[in-house]
Amino acid sequence: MTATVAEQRTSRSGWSKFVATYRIEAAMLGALVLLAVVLTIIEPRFLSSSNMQNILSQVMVLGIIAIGQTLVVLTGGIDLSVGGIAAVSIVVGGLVMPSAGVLVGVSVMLLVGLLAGLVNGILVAYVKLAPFIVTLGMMSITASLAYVLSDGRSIFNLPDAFAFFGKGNIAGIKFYVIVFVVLYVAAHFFLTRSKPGRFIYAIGSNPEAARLSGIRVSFYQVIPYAVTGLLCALAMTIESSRLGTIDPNTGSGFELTTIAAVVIGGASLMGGKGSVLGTLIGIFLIGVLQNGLNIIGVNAFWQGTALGTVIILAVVLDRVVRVRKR
Amino acid sequence: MTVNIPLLEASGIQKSYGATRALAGVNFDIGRGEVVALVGENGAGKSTLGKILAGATEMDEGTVSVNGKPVSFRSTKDALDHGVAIVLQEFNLIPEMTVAENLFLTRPSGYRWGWWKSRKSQVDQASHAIADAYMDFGIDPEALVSELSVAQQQIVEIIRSLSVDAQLFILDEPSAALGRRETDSLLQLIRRLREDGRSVIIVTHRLDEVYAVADRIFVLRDGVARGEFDPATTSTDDLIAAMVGRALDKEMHEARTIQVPGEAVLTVDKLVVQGTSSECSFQVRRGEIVGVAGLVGSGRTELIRAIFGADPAISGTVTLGGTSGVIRSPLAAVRAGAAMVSEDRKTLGLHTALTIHDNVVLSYLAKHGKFWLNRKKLDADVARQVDDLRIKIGGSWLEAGVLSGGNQQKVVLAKWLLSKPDLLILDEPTRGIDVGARAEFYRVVDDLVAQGMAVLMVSSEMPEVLALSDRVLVMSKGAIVTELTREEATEERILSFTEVMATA
Repeated sequence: MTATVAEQRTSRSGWSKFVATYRIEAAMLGALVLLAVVLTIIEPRFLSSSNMQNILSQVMVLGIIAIGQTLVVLTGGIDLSVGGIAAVSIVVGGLVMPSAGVLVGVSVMLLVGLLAGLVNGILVAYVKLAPFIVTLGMMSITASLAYVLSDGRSIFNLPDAFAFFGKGNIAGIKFYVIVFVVLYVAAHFFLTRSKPGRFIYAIGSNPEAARLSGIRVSFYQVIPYAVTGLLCALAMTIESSRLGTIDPNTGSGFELTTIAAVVIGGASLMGGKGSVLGTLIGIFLIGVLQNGLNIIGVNAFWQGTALGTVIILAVVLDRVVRVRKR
Repeated sequence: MTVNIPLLEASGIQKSYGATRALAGVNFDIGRGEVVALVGENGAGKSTLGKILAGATEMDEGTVSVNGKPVSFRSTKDALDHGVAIVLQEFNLIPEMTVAENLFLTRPSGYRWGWWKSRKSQVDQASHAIADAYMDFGIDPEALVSELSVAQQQIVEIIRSLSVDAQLFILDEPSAALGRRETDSLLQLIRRLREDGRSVIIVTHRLDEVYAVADRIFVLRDGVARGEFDPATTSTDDLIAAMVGRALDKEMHEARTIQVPGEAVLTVDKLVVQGTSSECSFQVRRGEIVGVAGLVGSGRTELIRAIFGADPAISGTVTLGGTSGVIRSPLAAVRAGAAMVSEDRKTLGLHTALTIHDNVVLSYLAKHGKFWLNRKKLDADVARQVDDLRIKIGGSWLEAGVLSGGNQQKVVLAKWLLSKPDLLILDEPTRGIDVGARAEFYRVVDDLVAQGMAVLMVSSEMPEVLALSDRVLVMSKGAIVTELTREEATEERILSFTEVMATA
């Protein structure tokens, strides 16, 4: 009897812990489900497997990049250069790929992304420049370099083997879906169960207190930018492989959509608050919204209005939930 | 002067924050030329009452009248129009502006024909205002506010708020960041306001101030008025009993378990701190508390920050936990076995947005943590610290920012104790913490020292230094001017060293 009481108490405390940690995420998941139900009632084709696949492939690129953006925002930073880094990394890789082969080409893509992200991180953490300025500059440089190097033309003559990243299957599942799932699971465990993950939250919430606690703030501040650069390259590698072409004119608007997903997922731009689970829901909410408006025949010009409304509502909801808790 | 109608009268004041009731129907009045001290533990509602009377917070229910006429303040400006001004606990200064610019930004005297006055005339005016307030502590009117120390900023805030023409001034914890000399000047300033026929409400934790300046003491506990006292006929014990609702054993925090100290944990040798040229040398041994006394600006905080690597020293050696040399970063200090509870809890110690659990594990992880966390062990460790320190919380997954001041300070202490330090550095450890929580904090520190911890403590609270320290280092102008034993140390002796050196 006493054991049951004790068990009840732990399970209840486990539940309130879960609610306290993920209440925004839960609310957003509710909104996503509601949206899907409404869309299905209006247009049953929304639930068809071809449409689901459609949404998945649309969400994939920005979803992968949004993982990095989440890490950056958690430290209290922001990365505006994600689109530019995505473009320049695939252009550089695409230029060497025809002669050097797929493996080298893809490695170059990832390396360029990682390097650009590292430069961002070092300028923010060690030179102590404002993240907004650093990444604004990097956005301009990388986007421009993508045009310079490609001469503004798309690259088509890619080796056949390159198609695997965007079109290949492993055990009947699309390769990129596996990458997507593995990355989200890894990022979730990294943030909640690793030391650097905990430190990223601490730095975002109060950098000076973090330093005085014995945390190497600058070192841990570099990681999110470097990871974001790498993920930009990876996401764009998959996308260009899927499309069979490398387009230098890509990546514009990536920064706004990824930041929107992070904010819709309950993160604070001040840092220290948010989760990749929230970002995952946020990116799907955006994807479903865009797809749904299309499929029920709403003029595409309305998408911006809908997305903007969702972003603002998300922040209002966050405020309401926090006030009620007090 | 006999007064029939009070200057300000409030009745039935009620205020709730969510489910928490801050004030439950309080009646309050103050006459012309009267100084009333508003005292109570943290969370008693005294700051809330002060803010409501000054229009900084809106009340849920109740009435306020000034000179017999009902008023309803919607903002502090509203209140100021009715002659009620407030000095808030939070700073309202603009860091990127100079002292002079801040003083006159919202004052007509800062402008001529609608235009900003010349820099020179502003600086002159500011120097006068500073001298006029007895606050001439070397504050340069042309210095940026961001360059000033916390105490200096507080002084600028006080001067700015008191330079308006008001009948009633409400001071919310004005001396929380001030040293003794600055506080004395503030009390002198309050007395002059009273002589001019102005009234003052002072919200404070410090009972010595209450006795020094108040005509009447108004005690709040749990949002309810617990009586008014005449300072001339009320003992400190009676007052504390009214504040905490139980007789606090006065001897408890004074009676420390004194023991023979062990081997040296910290040896500081000829350490030169940035901004000074003096060399500091001393030791802290296992099982003793070394107090550091001195005025604000005497270099106490700078010295311990240098020892902890927060602002690395220029030269000298610090020997701690098997390492020797200048400590270059807090991480190096933590690894060598040091821990520091910082001066300003909210900006330097606590991560208010993180959970209690995540706060408590940080320094342990920085010192010992592997890449992946052992969550079972951490949960158990945190639970043990929360139990040991008797931190009253709903659960360790709650945000640390929602805790009371005393519990927040215990969370910071728990963070350090989990890293198993040999040396505990405390900088103003009980600032802004109520009487009951203080006694609790002293008990915890005494326990730690009894188990062999070495403690180095900076405090502006003289009774605290005297009650806790085995030895007292007295600092002035960046140098250690003398060292007193527990038996030698008295308030007068410590002050004689600081005052002599400060005026010399």
